[in-house]
Amino acid sequence: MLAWVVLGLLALHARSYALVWTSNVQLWTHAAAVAPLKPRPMNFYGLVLVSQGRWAEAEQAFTVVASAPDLPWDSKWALTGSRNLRSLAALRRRYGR
Amino acid sequence: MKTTIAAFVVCLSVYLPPIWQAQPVYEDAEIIADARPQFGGARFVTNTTLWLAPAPVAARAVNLGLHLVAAALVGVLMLRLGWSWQPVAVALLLLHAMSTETVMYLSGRGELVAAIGVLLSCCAAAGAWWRPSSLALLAIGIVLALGGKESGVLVFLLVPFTIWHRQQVEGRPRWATPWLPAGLCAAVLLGGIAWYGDLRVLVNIEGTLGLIDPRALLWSDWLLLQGGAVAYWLAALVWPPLLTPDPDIDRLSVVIRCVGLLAVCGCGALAWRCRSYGAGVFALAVLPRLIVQTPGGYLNAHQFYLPWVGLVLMVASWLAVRKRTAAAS
Repeated sequence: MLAWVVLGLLALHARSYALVWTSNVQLWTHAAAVAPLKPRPMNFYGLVLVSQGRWAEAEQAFTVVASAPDLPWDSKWALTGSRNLRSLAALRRRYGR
Repeated sequence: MKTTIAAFVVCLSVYLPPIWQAQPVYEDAEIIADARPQFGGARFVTNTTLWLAPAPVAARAVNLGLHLVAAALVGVLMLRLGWSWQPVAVALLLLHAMSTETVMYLSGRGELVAAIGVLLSCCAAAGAWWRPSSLALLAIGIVLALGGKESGVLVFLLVPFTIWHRQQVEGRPRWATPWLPAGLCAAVLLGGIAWYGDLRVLVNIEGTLGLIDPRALLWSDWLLLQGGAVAYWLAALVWPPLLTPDPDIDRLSVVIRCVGLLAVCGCGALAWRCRSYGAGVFALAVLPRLIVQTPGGYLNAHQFYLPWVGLVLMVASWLAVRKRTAAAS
């Protein structure tokens, strides 16, 4: 009986996690919440925020990306973050707040 | 049987509504654009199925169908291994969110096709594998596994392991020793590595693309980072809210990374000493990932599908033993 209750709870969680995979907005919002210091999900989350016009929050996300440490197996993110911050600044200058 | 059918129905009700509203996510569009059916090419079965049903809803519905088939094959494998049918184990594979990424993300298609091929081959290998019908099933399984994804080469580890595990099958002719398929599979694996280039070429795939220079890494980086990924997914099995498309493995401590490696080694020891089939499937399914996968691309949830099947088989075996002991007492 306990096993089936646990399986029921697992099914409910699977349902809510499946909903995360229905759009990029939900996917990267969830990924950024679970790993708020990891550059890749934060970069994609920043791009999602830019697409929604939430520029201040996008700046915070790209700042996390730009401050990512250079690892021998993953070194491109600091550069990507800085580039996205510059592009975001240009966007804000062009379209205002 | 009723409980198993109920688990399948619940699985459909869990996934069908999210599938109905699904849009392309992450690399879905690239995966569909690259999917061209080319017989004999890399991932030709996966690419053909993606090419036939490229729409987001249809592609995920196919993934869900394949997931149901894989769960059914796990049940069949339990029976072929001489265990009793364990609906709780099948339901665990169907309903745990560890399988969600594999179902909802199109990159999971290759893992699903490869897993079905591997499970089909293991079902054939678990009985009288020398009979023509079993050999035909083995061949179909191998084609599916290799046509699904490169990780399908696991079939050449898991088939000999299954035959070794089931040595006591009756009526075996003298020529059908467990060493024969093991030798053939070893020859195929070594030949495949030599044909591809060599092991360094296999390992350095990302290096050739300029993303990573594997020479800058130590073996400890290599093993411990993937060990950390294993530890993370094991923790996510117990606490599903940890599930995410991109976990922060870099920030895990060395202790946690060592725990992941020890879990793989422990399962290998359990398979050898106690003949635990599920533990062997888990260890063998993870082991090649530790060597071939570059540290920049961690083992993710959909790549953990086959090791997850191994863990489900461990649960099934434990439940079967418990049931037998209860009946005996």
